[in-house]
Amino acid sequence: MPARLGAVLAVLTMAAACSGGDSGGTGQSATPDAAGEPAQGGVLNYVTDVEPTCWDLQQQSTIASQTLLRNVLDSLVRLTPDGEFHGWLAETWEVSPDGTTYTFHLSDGVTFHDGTPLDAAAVTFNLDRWIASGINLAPSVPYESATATDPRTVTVQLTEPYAPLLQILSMPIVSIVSPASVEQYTPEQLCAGGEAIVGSGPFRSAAYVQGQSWTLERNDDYDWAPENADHTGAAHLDGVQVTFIQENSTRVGALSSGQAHLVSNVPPVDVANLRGGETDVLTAEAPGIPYSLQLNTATGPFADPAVREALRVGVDYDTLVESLYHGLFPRAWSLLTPATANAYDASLEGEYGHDLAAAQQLLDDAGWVPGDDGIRVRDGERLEAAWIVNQAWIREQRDVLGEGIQDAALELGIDLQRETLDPGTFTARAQAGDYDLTDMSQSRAEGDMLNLAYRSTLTPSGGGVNYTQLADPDVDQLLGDAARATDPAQRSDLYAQVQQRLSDGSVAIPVYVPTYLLGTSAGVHGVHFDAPGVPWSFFDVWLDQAQ
Amino acid sequence: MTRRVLRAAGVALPVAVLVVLALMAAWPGLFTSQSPLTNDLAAALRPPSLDHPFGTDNLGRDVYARTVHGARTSLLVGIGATAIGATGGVLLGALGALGPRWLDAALLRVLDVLLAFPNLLFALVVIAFFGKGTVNVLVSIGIAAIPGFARVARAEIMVVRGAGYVTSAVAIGSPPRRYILRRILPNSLTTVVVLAALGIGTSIIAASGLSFLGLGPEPPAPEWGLMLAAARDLLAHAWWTGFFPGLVLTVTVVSVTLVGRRLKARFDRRTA
Amino acid sequence: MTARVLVAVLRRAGSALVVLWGAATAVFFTMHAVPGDPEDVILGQELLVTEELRAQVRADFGLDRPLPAQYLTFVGNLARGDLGRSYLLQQPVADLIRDQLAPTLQLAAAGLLVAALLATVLAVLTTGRSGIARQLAVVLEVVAISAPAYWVGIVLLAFLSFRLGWFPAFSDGGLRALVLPALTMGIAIFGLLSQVLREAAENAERQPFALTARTRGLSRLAVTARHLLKHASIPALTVGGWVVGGVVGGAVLIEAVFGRPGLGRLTLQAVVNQDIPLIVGLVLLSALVFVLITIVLDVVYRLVDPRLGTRS
Repeated sequence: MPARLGAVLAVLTMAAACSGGDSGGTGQSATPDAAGEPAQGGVLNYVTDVEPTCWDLQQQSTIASQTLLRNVLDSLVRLTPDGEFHGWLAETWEVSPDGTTYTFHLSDGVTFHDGTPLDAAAVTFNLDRWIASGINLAPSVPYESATATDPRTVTVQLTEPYAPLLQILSMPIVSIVSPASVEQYTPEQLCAGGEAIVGSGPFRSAAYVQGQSWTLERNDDYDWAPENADHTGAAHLDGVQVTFIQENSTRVGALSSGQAHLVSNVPPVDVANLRGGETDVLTAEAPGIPYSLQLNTATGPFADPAVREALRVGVDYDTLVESLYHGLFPRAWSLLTPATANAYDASLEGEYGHDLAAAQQLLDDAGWVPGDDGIRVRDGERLEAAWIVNQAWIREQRDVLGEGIQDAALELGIDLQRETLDPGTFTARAQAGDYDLTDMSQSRAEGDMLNLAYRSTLTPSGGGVNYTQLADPDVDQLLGDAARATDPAQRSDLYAQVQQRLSDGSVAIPVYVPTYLLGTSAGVHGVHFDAPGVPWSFFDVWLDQAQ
Repeated sequence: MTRRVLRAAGVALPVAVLVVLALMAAWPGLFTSQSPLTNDLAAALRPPSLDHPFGTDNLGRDVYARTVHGARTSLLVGIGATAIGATGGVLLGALGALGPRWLDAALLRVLDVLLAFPNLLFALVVIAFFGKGTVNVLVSIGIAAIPGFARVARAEIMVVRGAGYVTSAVAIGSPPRRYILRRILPNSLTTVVVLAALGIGTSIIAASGLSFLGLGPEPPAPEWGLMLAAARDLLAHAWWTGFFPGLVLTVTVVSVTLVGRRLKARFDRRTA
Repeated sequence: MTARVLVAVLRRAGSALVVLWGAATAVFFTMHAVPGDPEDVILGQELLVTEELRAQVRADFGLDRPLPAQYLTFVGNLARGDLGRSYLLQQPVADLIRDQLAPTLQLAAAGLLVAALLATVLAVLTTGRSGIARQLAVVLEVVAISAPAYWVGIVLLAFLSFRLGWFPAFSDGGLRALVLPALTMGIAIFGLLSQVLREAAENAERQPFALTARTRGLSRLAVTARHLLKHASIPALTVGGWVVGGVVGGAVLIEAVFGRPGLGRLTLQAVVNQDIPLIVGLVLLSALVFVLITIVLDVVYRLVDPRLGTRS
């Protein structure tokens, strides 16, 4: 078995390495299994770290709920990590030449877990509900209407061309739930999950015990898997038992002791021990914005490009990333990661290197000279920067990494003062512009992610995540053009230009590519990753024997 | 003979530990020349050795140096929080015991409300209000300790007020302020001081618990609770990153408690 | 006498209501004075948040009304047993607390059992004795009181679970998974309990009835076990009451270390996210537990030791 897992792993790593995603090998590749026919039955024990706070994606949407709900809810189309779209609930679709009308032809005979039919009316209900929610990127879509032209055809009308639409529709955030369930349950009940989540997916949601576990049962009627899945029909597994364990060491312990088949987010330090033998670790790089330092270009020390550049070349990020993540997380060079198919600009890789002397020279030239305590001073002002950290975003040892960057910056004469804040305070500070830098990564398999992070109007006070406060008309123009362009090659080129411009201005410092480390035991097969770099549904998963 | 030796050691040992800790807090440079903050990635996660008696953490920092430098925060928070608790408690207690009857009744009600919260929960609520950080942890634990001290102080002051020498002082016409300051407070404070000695230990544990939960000082500050929190993920790989800070923390609190008890025992014998 | 007990209980209950109302009011106003907007908690990880959406969420949670009006609603709902809706989990606070009560009660009960067992054994073995055994017991107690519970938990987890594999790494609902958390909590509690027990037993031993029992030929151990512990149990119950009140606090750390569900974890989540309705609810719960314990203890005292009833 390890041989096959190794093969999957090699394919995954390869997919991550090739930037365009145009090769055949992807994280989704359905390689014929050496062990032969997939076995039927068994319950998969999956231990994951983050528990969703609300299970209704149109009320509150988190990566945790999106990822888990993929097992229960289907979407119109499926996007694979290579950037290809595949038919799912919509067998086929057309886009009008002007890019404003999308027509979806639905698969026949699809039913929800409650037996009601998944028809065009159900789809328009869900699209309208999503737009009305005001969350899940709804405000960024130039949505006019969705119409059920006939029971199996849905027409989505936009006010202007918007190329990222298909990617949004492929995400769990716009998955299709049973309209009857939304009528039947109160918003609180929908949020509380369990049996109130009614979709059309390969598993149905059974019991949910808050703080503890979630039980999934196979949907025996399932016959509408996405066209690129390993098999058709119902899932192999009888069910899935999801357990929530926040503590990393406990999760790893659960895998090595055989209590779990699969565990999410294995700490890099544990990977070497888990590889070989009865367990292994699968990897998938996240698309979107890598973990990066976002420098406030509007006020404070980083308003000066020279200081930004000094922080970019003066810290040895390579060694920090290599050492802390044991070589498992690649160094990031652009503000999109390589896994962002059809948008990543690989030409930026290795564009600059660690050069302490050059960084010191930059600061000297900018008038910042070393003071008594080693921190640089200009006109009696110390070179200090307030680094606000959103507590909810700390994962993957980012706090330790932050300490490492802090120490390296001290050597440069820059005093980075990290403040870890609760989400409310963080947002308040960000909206007030009261910070010099912050850090984030944003996972989304679409170059359009740059729009949310660097458009001048989408600063925190504008409701977006442009923490750099960048206001560059050229960047705005390029981002707008890219969203409207209908030709994929042209879009890719426009996003490359944006990445280059952002890099030239050192407005943010890419540090590492977040990489999903999924611990698995040897008897588990058919695990696939989704385009956002997280585990896809367990539809194709099977266990050696019914364990 | 052995018993006497044991008994002497039972006092001398914790006192010696506390002296060493105080020195660490005041002049950490006496105990280590290594920086608690400087990274050395090439030497990350080294087991204990002569160079690094407690090993190194995942940024290659010397765990021993970080433990030594952590003494200051822990002791300061322990003493500071207890000082807040004791001072606030004595003030409230005095107000209740010496003030008008209605004030005493109202105060008792308030104390009832406050005592209804477990200390850690109380501190958590205060932190939710003030935000996190070392000073806020100190203040929150201090505030959480006030009701307990206030109860004891009130009871003690009432006992002392009823004592013969006070009633006679009042009878011969001593001005109230004078007898409060000269007689009542000093006599009732002894209990509070003894209680405070024991309270320092509790405060140190509570503070390290809060920073373990990520509500205390900001990394990379060397602080025991923070070090233990960081060590949680490294249990299987580098036990030393958590074992030693935890051990030192425990030894510290044990010593404080033993000394506090000895004080209490001596005091109890004197008053008995 | 029972009438007197009843009156006392009723009086207690009356003042308990005042305590609860005071606690709720204090926390309500304190938490609403905290900087930061609740809608940021509610909207969590959204990348794009429009002003309209903010306004809608505020209205949805009644946050757009003046604070006094919000307070009146809050108190009105409280009187009907409605604790409001959690910002983060968007569910009724009462439901959330109810769902998390069982695992914490389980942990508390098991922890108290361990503590009572350890304390009784130690107290029985060392009451009235001096020498090495007693010194050892004292040291043991002091270490147990002083060692941070979460550190004890980590060490137990690292060695007994990860290294030796004797206990499961996480709770699967089985009893074996409860052993380490219960042991951790028991260790944290037993030190104090055993001291109080011994001290009280020794006090009682000086009383005449102990001597009588000894003269009847009972061994010292038998006397300790039978008569003295019964008398010592009153002060021990007091401490026990305090300890139960502290369990919610202690559970925060122990549940975090062992990855157990429960009220402690809920509390931490609420505090970290400034989930005001949930914090208020949890504070009320712990206040309620506390006053209930005081009432129960009061009754027990009066029943065990009737002299108390006549005194005040």
